[in-house]
Amino acid sequence: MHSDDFDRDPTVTLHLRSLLRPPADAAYWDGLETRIMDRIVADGAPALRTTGGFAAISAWWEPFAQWTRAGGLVAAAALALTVWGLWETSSSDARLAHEAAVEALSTPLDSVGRPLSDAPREKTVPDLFRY
Amino acid sequence: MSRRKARTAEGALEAKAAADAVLAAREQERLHVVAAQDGDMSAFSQLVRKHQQRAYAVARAVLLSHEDAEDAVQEGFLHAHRALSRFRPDQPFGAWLHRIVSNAALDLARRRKVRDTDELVDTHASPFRDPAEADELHDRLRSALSQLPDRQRSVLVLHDVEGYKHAEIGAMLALPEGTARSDLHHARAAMRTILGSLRRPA
Repeated sequence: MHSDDFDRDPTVTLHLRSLLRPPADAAYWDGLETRIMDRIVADGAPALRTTGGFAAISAWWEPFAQWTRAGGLVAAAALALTVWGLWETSSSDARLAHEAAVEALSTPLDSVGRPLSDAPREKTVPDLFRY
Repeated sequence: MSRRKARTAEGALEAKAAADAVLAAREQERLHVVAAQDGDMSAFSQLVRKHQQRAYAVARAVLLSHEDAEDAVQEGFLHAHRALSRFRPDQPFGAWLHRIVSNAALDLARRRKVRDTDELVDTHASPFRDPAEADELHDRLRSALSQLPDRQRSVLVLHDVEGYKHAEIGAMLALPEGTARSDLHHARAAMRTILGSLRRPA
């Protein structure tokens, strides 16, 4: 016996089933179907999916759904190309920076510096150190 | 031993065939829903044909009279058709429809209660007569059912007569499963009290 059945009265259940049984006549159900459909037609409200909500979004997406796989492949290829391009750019930048640094170090330090000019602006630093 | 194996294999084949039939029916229903969503009225008519008896049983659990149950079924299908664009075809149509029909039935029961209170009409009066109504025992059962609160009566009938599970009843009537369970036991206890005299030997 099911745990919900400990207080069920089988006699009452039997009579309830008999009392509430749906009409057995097939003609009744044909007639009810007709009445339901007549009311729906008279109501005139469309059931179309394009009227809103999730179904509307699904309907909008349907023509594009077949391109999902191809679109995914193209997106993946574009992403791979972008990553490769970024890596190439950054490695060439690093190479150029490295070459510039090496070149700068190989130049004698004397030739890099400039002699102080006699302009007043250039004199301020030695003047500051003096005090 | 080999006969036993053969029986087991036969049983497995039958189970597979039954499962395949269920899947085919579900797919057929999904196609009808999609077609109905595209405006195909004959597809919706197929859905009505398939589900109207179960919908009637749900409505009859809430409402005491045959006419009210039929009204609730018609209202339910009308609301379902209006809301069909928002229904996802991969979901079970029956469960969705039963929720709508039970709401329509509860709404009708509330309206009837107000009307009956206002007009002091005998709640059992009905022009519809079936052989069962002539039976005295059925009259007393009907009277006992009418004394139960709407929710308890619905849970009792949906569970004991229609065979729904508590979770399904909870979903249908917007109740927690535990409430449906306790409503069932309260309803059975009330029926026992009301029908006490039925069980006494004559």
